Formats: sequence, structure tokens, C-alpha cells
Amino acid sequence: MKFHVRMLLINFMTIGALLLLAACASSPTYHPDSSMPEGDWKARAQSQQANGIEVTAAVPSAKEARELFGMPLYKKGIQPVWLRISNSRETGVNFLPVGLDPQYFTPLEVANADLKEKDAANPTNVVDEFFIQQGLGTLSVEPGETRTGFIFSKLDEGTKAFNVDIIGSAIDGSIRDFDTFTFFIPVPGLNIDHYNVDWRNLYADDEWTDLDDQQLIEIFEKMTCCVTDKKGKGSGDPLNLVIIGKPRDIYTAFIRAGWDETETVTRTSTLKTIGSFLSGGEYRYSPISGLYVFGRPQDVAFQKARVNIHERNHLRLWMSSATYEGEPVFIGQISRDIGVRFTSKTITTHKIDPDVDETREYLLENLVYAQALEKFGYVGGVGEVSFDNPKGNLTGDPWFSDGHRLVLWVTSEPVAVDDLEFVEWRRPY
Amino acid sequence: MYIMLNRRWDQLIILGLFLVLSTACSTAPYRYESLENFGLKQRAVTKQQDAIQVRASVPSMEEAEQILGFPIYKRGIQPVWLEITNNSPNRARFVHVSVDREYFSPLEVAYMHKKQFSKQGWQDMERHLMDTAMPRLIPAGETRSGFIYTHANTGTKSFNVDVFYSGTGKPVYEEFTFFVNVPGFVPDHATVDWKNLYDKDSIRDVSIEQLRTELRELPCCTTNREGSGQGQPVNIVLVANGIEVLQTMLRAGWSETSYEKDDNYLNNVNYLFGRPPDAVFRKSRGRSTLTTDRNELSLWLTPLRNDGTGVWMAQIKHAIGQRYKINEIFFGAAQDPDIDDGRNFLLQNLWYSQTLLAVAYSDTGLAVPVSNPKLDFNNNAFFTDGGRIVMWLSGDPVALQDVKNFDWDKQATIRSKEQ
Repeated sequence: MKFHVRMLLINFMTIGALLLLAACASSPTYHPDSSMPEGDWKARAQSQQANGIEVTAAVPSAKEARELFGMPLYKKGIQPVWLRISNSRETGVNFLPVGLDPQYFTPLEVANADLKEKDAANPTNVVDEFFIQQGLGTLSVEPGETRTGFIFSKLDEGTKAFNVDIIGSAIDGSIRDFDTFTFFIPVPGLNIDHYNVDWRNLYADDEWTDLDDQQLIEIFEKMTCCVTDKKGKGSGDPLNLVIIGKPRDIYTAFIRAGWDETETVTRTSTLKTIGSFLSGGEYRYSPISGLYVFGRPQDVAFQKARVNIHERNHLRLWMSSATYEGEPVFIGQISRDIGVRFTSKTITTHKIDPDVDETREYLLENLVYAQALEKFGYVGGVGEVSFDNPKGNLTGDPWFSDGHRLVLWVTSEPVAVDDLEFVEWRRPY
Repeated sequence: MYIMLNRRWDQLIILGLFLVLSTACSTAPYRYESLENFGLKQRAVTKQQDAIQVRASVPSMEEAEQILGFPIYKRGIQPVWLEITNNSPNRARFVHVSVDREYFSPLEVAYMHKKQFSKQGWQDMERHLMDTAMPRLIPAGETRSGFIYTHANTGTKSFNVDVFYSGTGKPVYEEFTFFVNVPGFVPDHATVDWKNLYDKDSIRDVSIEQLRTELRELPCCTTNREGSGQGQPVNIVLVANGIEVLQTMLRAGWSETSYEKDDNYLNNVNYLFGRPPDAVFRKSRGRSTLTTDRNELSLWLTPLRNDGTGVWMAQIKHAIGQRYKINEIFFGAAQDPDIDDGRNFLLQNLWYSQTLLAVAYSDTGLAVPVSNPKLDFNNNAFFTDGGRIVMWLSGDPVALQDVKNFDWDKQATIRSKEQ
């Protein structure tokens, strides 16, 4: 038994070392420093006002949270969100923390995150007044009152996106109104890839072209089918997405739909990836290898972790020099990881779902249900590849497709599910 | 003798290695049984809205293993069988994420189970799962059926099926809600003799105003089995009929339980009206590194009816610290002493799942300050503002801003930090 454990350990260490090499080799050339300074977390607070309610929110980083609470909260998957809610109405309102995080942690749950059976022997040990004081107390905010405190939410590094929902009532208590304040607060501590992209200077001024419908269809159907390696060689995963929107809208839409930003490859992030590879745990922001279009690795990558690092969806986007009605047009690629396998090219890689159209349609549904999509349609350009005669990507994973690219008009303003528009350019089915 | 023993060990080790190796590179072909051999289609729940008909059925753990050829529930995956008929003049689209936001794709399921089969077996499995997958598009006038792979849960399976089709102008959007029984699981509420819980004479139907007074007469707290030790306050009242309570809880993401009513259970569980809970639901937290992640809701039917509708009393336990006994009553090192949070959580949880018709505040008559927590008969500390929330539930979705508020008592603010 011991022998087995040791062998496993040696295997893992070898894999780890090789992974380190592999990750370093594909490291994109982004600037390593983050633009978000740490220290004064309240200086990063954002405020919003509506209908007599003012909400201010701030999110301490991992280091700041540790200093505030004397516990490594981020390591436990807990992220404190500080709120100040002021009610200048004549009636009381209620704050609903479930709107911020449907599975928020209670102050005493956080205080006792390390509690063991023996510590619980004295039952009053679990009552920690410091943590209770840090919470918001009651959920009601009376007229003229200001309430401050922390809500303990599940961890989202990079940008923290959340709603603050306030329910109000009329004087007779019968009619209610509902106000939602949506926050996107960048949190220092991760080197997010798209923070470092110089969007304005990707193309020279005279390279930009605004396209009409027909031109967009034509140009994007003629665009290369697939990603390449660094040297521009090979034919990899199919470019099955065209996304129209400003970088800010895209990033808001994807965060709202539950996608995580991706860290640029640095020494720490590589170590974090290896850690979660060995434990099978979650490191939701792990850098992903560079694939090439327009002679450069992806400008933005998002990922959506499911159960563990082996099961996640990856999405890479490259900004083209085309615009459509003034909005930038991106080409992209999405894949669903379904496991890890060993290859000769990158040592280990994620095995992707060969049914790439399935993953493409998942993204469509995911964005629609997050109310982050205005319109969608299809163009060709990938070329039909059958189940029985699949193509291989750069690491040899097979894929097949109906040959269509999904065109998505993303929005940062919520669009109701039944207001979605279908643009009849091509019909894949 | 000694040598013999050693040799036998050697043989065992070799046999063991052989077994390990043989499972690692399996030569087994892929085999499955026809769907028709099982009553899936016959027992399907059918729903019809305008031009769309949806039928749904969920195979049990055993059935799923035979139908698919591998033990899929062991991976936490539950197949749901659907059949959609589109009687509209245009094609319809079924939305996979409406059933499960993070459903599994057929080839992903195949990849997870490939080690059991030979290479040819894996390919056959991939083909079979693709062929039997529920497609997204249903042409006009046609019927399509197949499986979608969801996260498994215990007990009755509740899910939505959303279908879009183009009407005149705007697309038509139909949402179907299903509650499907899964064979082999008997939830604890199914073993309660509901008809004989109370004598006909002891059941009293009261108005909303009378209910306000009557609730004050009900016990503040639960007790232990003998009735000698005090439990925690019963700080939740639900007004709904049994089926509505069940559907509401399932829609809000809770699962049924199936406790064995042995002495160990009965000696530790909370009693109200001289009996253990009539129904218990659990809700676990998804992505968390904390080991404790469970809320448990216990419900008792009272002898009161509000305008013919059932009145239930309930309490929530929320475990904190590290879990040390799984599937037993004590599922954490301790319970969260802030029992108001569980109550407030349920209010929001039902509100956001659009199942809340109206809310009123009452009290249990027992307020316990943070500075001087009380102990229940199981030695759990607790404190509370003494508030009790009364919630009227709705089978039909209620928009967030349409929830009524009966102006009974002011929301308790004993714990507010300013005091």
C-alpha cells in the first residue's frame, strides 16, 4: 500500500514538473504587474443611488481580508463584501443577501470554519461576538438609517460581480418595490489577462473597417477555420464564435453568465495550477495555454469551472480589425474539457468534447439565460466535419462540427429571454 | 504452514495485480438494454402548453445502469428522459440549460466511463449516447425524444423544460415545470399517515386575523422525545397544502430525505405536538471548500387551517464546523447558534424562487440575547430576536415585487448593532 502511495507521489511530482515546463513554454508575453494596488480597500469602494437608497460596496483582497479578520478567508473560499446601505426614504426597506450570493455564509459559520468536534464540546464556544459585529445585523434598514457590515460570499477573484437587492414597502406595508444595484468591483491579487491588453493600439487607425451585414458574413466566412500554433502552423480547434461588442460589454456579459477571468501565466499562477491539478480541486482562474490567430495568442480568455479543474469550459477571443455598426468584432473558440490526457506535444492537456457544436450551443443558452445577449445568428467558415471522419486539434483531440460559427451580440444591459432576436443569415440545422 | 501462507499471499497479490491491470485496459464490449424494456415512457409525466407537449421520466439508479450500460449515478449524474412534440407550424428549440444550468454532454459522460470498455466499446458507447441524446431542435409537427444528463439529487426530481418556437412576430416561450418520482426512493413524508394525524374535531379552520392570535397559543419551541428537555424555537410558519409545500421546497432547491426512524434518530430529533417531524428537507451548498454545507428544514403540520389551507410549523438547522457524521442527524460539529439566520434565509430563498405569496411577522415568545445564549436539549447554543416569520406559499410563480406583507408585528430588531 505504502509502495503505491509513493509511486503515485513520484508520478504526480513528475507530472507537476512537466506541467511547469509546459506552462512556462506557452507563456504569453503580457506585462506581469497588476494595476490594482492593495492596501486601502475602502478607497476602491463604489457607490450607487436610486429611489432614496444609497449603496456603497467594497471588496477586500485576500491579503486585506486576512488582516481584517485574522483568518485566511480566501483560502477557505470565502470573500467578504463590505456594504453601506443608507435609507433616506420615509419607509423602511429590507436588504436581501441571497440576491448577492444565494449561498452566502453566516458570520458564525465563517468564525467557526476551523471548528472541530472537540472544540464544539463547549457549545457556547461557537458564539463569536467579533464576527457577529462584522455582519450587517438585521436585514432591515429603517427610515433615515445607515447600516454597514460585511456579507460573506463565495470567492470570486479578479472582478467581483454581484447584485445588492433592496425591497421597499409603502406606508401601509402592502405594496413593495424592488431595486437592484449591480456592482463590478475589481479585486487586486490576480494578474488578469485582459487588464494588460492595449485595445486601442492592437491595430493602426487605417486598419479598421466597419462592415455591413453582407461584408461581415463574407469576411468571417472566409476567415481561417482554426487556430494555429505560435509559428502560425498546424490547424487546431475550430474558430466557432464571432462576438460583437466592446471589451467592457463582453467582460460584463461573461462575468454575469458565471465565467471567470483568466490569470496571465506567472510563476505563482503556474504553482496554483499544479496544486489544483494534483488535488483535483478548483483553481478557477488558472492561465490557459496560448493558441494563435492573427499571429498572436488570445487577447482574452474566460473559463467556467464545473466540478474540478479537469471539467471546465474554455473560451478564447481575438479582436479583429473589423467593426459592425461601430462595435468591435471578435473571433473566438470555445471548448468543453472533459478530462485530462497525456500527449506528446504538451505532455498533458485537456481532452475536449469532440462535439464542439454542443459546446457552442451551450454558450448561446448560457448567455441568453444570463440575459447578456441581444441577438444571435450564424455564419459558415469552419467547414463541415463529420462524426465518422473527425479532424484533430493541435494536441490531437478529435472534433466534428456542422461548420458554423455562432454570431453573438452581447450586451451589458440585461435583455429579457423572450426579447432575444434571431438574425437569419445562415441556418446550421 | 508459514511458507504456504506466504505463497498464498503472493498468489493473492498477483491475482490482485491482474485484476487491476485487467480493469485498467478493459476488453469489455459496450452493452446496454433497450429503453423499451423499462416502463420509462409509460410512467412519463405529460404536460401540454399550446402547441408543445413535453413528457418526462427519470430512470432509477438500477434502471439507468441497465439502459446505459454503466453505473452513471455513481458519478453524481442523473439521466432525464424527455419527449417533446412540436405541433406548431415552425421548428421549436428545447433549451438544455433550462433543465440543469451545468448539464453534462453525452460525449463527456462517455469519456468518464470509457475505462470500463475496450476501445471499440468506448466508440460504440459514444455513438449510442449521441444517438439517444435529446436533440435541441424539434421540426414542425414532429416528436423528438432522448436523454439529458443532469446533476443527481435524492428523491423527487424537479426541473424545468423551456421550449422556444417562432410565433407570429415574437418568439413564443413555453416553460414547463416537472416533479418526477424516481423509483426506489421513499421520502419520509410518504410514510406519514396524514389523514389520521389529528381527529376531525381538533382541526380548526381560521381566518388570517384569527391565525395571528392562534399562532401565539402554539408552542414556542420543540422538545426532546420524552418532552422533558426544551429544544429550539419554532420560528417559521408556512401556510400551504402538502403538495404545495413539497413543490415549493423542491423548486427552491431543497431535497427530500429518507431517515430511518430508529432509536438513535428518535432520541436526538426535535419533537413538536408529541411527534418527530412530518417531513425533513435538506439543502446543500455547492462550490465551497467548507466541509459543512447543509441546511435542514423540519416541518410539522398543525391542527390549524387558514381558509382551508394547511398551516405548518418549521425550524431550520444550519451546521457549522467540520462534519463528522455523514447522513446522521448531527451533520456538523455544531449548529449555527444564530437561528434567525436560517429563518431569514428561508424567507429569501422562497422569495427568490418566486413561491412566496405573502409574509407576516409574529413572535415565538422567546428572545435570547447574543450575550447570553441558551442551550437546547442536544447542547446546541442558540440566540434569537424572538421573531417568527409566517409565509403563505404559492404554486404559481409570484414576481419578486408582488409579495404581500401583512402588517402584524414589527420586524424584530433586538439584535441590531446600535443597541
